[in-house]
Amino acid sequence: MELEYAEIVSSKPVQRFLLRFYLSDITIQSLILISPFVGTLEGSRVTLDGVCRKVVEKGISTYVITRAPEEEYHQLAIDTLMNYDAVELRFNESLHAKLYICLCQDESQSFALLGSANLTRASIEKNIEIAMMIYGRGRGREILRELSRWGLERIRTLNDTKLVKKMKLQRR
Amino acid sequence: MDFKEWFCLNGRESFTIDPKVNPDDARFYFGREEIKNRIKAQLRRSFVEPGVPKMVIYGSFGSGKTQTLFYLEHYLQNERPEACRGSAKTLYLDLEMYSRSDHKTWHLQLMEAIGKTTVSTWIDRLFSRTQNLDTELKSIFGDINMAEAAKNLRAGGDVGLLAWRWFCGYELKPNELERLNVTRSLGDLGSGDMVKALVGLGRLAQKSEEKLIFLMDEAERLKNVKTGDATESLHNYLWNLAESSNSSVGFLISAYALTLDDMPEIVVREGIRTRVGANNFVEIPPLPSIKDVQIFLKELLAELVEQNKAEEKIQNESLGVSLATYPFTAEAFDMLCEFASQDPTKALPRNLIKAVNECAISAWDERKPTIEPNIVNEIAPLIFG
Repeated sequence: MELEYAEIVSSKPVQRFLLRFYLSDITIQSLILISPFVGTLEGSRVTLDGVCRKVVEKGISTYVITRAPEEEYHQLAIDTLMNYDAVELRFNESLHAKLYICLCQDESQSFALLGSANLTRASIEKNIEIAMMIYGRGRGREILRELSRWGLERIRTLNDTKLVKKMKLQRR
Repeated sequence: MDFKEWFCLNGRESFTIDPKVNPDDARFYFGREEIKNRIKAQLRRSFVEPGVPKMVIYGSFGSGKTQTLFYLEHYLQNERPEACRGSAKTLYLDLEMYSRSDHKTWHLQLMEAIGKTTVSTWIDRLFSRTQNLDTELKSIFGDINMAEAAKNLRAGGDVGLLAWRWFCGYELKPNELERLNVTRSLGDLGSGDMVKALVGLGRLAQKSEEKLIFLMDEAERLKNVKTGDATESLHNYLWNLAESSNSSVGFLISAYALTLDDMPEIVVREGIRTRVGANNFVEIPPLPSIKDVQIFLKELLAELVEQNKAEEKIQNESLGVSLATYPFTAEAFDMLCEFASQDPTKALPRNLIKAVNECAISAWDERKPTIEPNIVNEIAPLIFG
């Protein structure tokens, strides 16, 4: 029986998550990207702009929570995100968690990545990272639900989480 | 002050309800009196004839199928119908079906949902009340092999585990069968054999004054099964379970389907429909009218908002809103109901809860004590548009 719901990813975990999101042709409802540092990922297989274009094309509600940028690469990524109506952007200066969630209409297709990797090119190309990919089947479903609630509700409503940009595109 | 206090939430972090995360949420069934009463009446009748519920519910994503299953579980456990002899032993499971899954997959999932400890406890109870366990087990299962395997479940160590593996439908080696004193593996005779064992376990549960009822969610995954033989074996498994002779194992199956024709074909074949009965195929539709949306939202807010605290806040801060719609202003509440009712296919509980949550988060972002029309005007079209 195929009941595996979690998998350790030690090679380019963020790229693995983004590729799964980017290449998937299933109906995705929400994308949640939580990372203290974000880059444009230019030069990687899936860029931040590529992700945003898919988000717009498919009408996927996207929630990004990161820290306020202090370095240029981070600022460039924020500039990219600001261009897309489907993206809601929030800053939280205490953020250290790295969590990426893709919520699909069919819950069993949903998946999340929880680990050490930032949404940056360095995490894909240079750093030693480890993460756990969790799938929405079997016991993974409950874990995904808890993570989604944390990402979609808890962290967005923390006192020190500041809304930077509202979402404007149609949500499903 | 945090979000929870800001909106006087009643022991929860948000306006989301999810019985899978918070079991106490199972008691909620907002704004659907008619369908709620109809399903409950069907359930009550089912304990008279055929003795256990056999029901299939369907609806679109977000219509509240899972909530319905959890609510019915809560109902059966807390307001047991008179005709239900013993307590309801409800077991929830999300069906997992893949291209090569068959009746053995289904059987294993049901057995895992029951668990070895539960079955061993039933047998221990029977043993403490009977003079002759062998005779009793033979009468319960109507099969010598099943009775032998059941008897071995009382044993500890390897033998107990082997007996459990036998009931789960694993193929055992000849020496393992010999240790259990059985002549074949369960399932060698097909899916009917497995259902027979399951129904026997249901009878065993009845001896402990328990009614075994499976709540099987996500049954649309039966469509994932691609091979003809596997599909037929799954159909036979359900067919046997739906038989009127089975009065000890109940099931409530929930599947995503907009109409009966969208259901997994094996669930709606004539033989299954006849056995389950037309009245036991129940659609969970979107909320049909603006009035239903209003009732749903008011009931939701009344449960999720701590009423005393909210009333105090409304008065102390002169918020000028009614407790019935708090944290929405009256105008914002009406506007949300209007938006939600414009397209009947989108007036779904999941969308309504999401809208309430997102409106509240928007008000929180602006540190507004209430949800005003401009917020609803911004959020609702994104969800219901």
